Amino acid sequence: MEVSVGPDGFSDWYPAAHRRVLAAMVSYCGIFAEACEATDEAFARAFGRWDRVGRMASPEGWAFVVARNVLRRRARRQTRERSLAVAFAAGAASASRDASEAVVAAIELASVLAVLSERQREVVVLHHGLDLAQDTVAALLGISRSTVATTLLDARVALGVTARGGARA
Amino acid sequence: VPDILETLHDTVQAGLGSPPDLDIVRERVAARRRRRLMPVSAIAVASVVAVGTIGLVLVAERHVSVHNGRPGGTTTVPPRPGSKGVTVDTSLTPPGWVAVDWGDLQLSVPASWKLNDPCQSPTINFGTPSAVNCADLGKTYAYVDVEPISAVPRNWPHISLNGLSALEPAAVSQPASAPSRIFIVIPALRVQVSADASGSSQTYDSELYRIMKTLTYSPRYVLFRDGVPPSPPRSWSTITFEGLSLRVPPADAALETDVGEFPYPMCAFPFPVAMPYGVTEDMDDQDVGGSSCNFIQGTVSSFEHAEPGVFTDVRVSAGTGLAGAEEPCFSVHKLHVCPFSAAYDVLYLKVSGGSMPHALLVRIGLSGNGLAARQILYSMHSS
Repeated sequence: MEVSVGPDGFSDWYPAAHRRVLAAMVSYCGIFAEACEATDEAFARAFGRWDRVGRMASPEGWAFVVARNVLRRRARRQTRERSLAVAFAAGAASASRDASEAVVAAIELASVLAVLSERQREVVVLHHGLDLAQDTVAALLGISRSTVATTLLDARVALGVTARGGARA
Repeated sequence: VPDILETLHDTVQAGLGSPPDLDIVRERVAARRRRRLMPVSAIAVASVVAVGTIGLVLVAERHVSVHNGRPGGTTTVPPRPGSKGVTVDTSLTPPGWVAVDWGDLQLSVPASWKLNDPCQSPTINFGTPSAVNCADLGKTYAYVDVEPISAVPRNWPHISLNGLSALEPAAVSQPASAPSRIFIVIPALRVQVSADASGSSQTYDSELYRIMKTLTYSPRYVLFRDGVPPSPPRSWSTITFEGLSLRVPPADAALETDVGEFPYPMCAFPFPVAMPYGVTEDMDDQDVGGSSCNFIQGTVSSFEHAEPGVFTDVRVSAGTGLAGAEEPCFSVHKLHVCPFSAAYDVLYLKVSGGSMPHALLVRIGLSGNGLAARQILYSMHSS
């Protein structure tokens, strides 16, 4: 994807990219409010560093990875600093508030993808969701292309097993 | 499978929601810059909390004079007798497993295991998902508990685990013949470890014994070990905050110094403390490892790990909850440092003295071999 650099380039890129990354994050994580907040933060960071981010092979992929890290960091703090019960209640409440049809569909998708490991989910969402090439996914996640390919295969197997189990049920 | 992946593709490409107006994004960025660059006057949050100017500057390397409690020295450290040169043996963590530290002990467990971090409890518990997830109650499970030592048993055989001296009623080295239940005491690290599997199933026996084979010193133990810590590398940056200066890994790793709000009560302390503001060395461009979504979805957390030495937060605290450190206080370059260690994976320090107008809370991530965290700790100066 070619992206023009500078504030104008960001303006052109931002609206559609935000929608896609948000959808990817909800599919990845399953809670709209958390995904939304992390996505907003990622795009704010992209805006602040657009000179650099705009030249990347995949600014959307970068935004997804940053949003994912925002989620992880927040969760890590929550793990230490809040009780599980409080966090769970907050998550459940926020999910129910944002129950539009598209959001519900993405959350359901997340529940299907939940059978995958975290790494598999990242790779699947980046490759199949955001349409990024395996080389780009590898660069974003700091892993080799062969690992991406293997992870995708494993993910397909895991999803296949689940789908067959679901069909039998 | 194609249907699932196609649905994913269509869902993501269709996008979700309406992005915030660009002005809101600009304001968000501007607000962060303001917080980062401008002094903020005193803010009352339950008690007096002050937020100061934050700077991230590169400085030339300075020699850090550290003497381990010797007369005339500038630093004293808590006692860890005979600990000079001890490091965390990171090679003990098998591929696909994760290392978890608790106090002075580190052990590794399969990555699929879940952590039950019991707020305000001295015990940490982790096990197979069925051991800590209420929805899976009744299924076969295995777990490991690590907790402060309650008593040193007499007449138990001494065993050596990776150089650690431990006491155990049964031999750890005989997994095939020994019972599932494992209980060992490590007096030098002040912890006891118990492991068990449910029912009569021996499904987890070998796994439990493999876990016991991963016991080693934790990064915290290395942090407080005897000996003169090395000076931080030249590439490290200096953070100054409210009269405190400390060195952190290079700016290209710690991409952003940020001020955030931390409204959560902290269970790492004897009672909740408001932690409203602070400085964070932010690593959000980096893969910080671990998992969050399982936790966010309401299940028990997967393991989260601080990356070596880069998870370094400095926070201003309300101060009222900072009494009662469980470790002896010590000094670093004339600063008074009191550690709190109830939380795994991170060390909290109350730092005061020098030209600091307030006591600060410093938290240092503990992972890897512990040496980076040690360098951060002993780089602290009054600025």
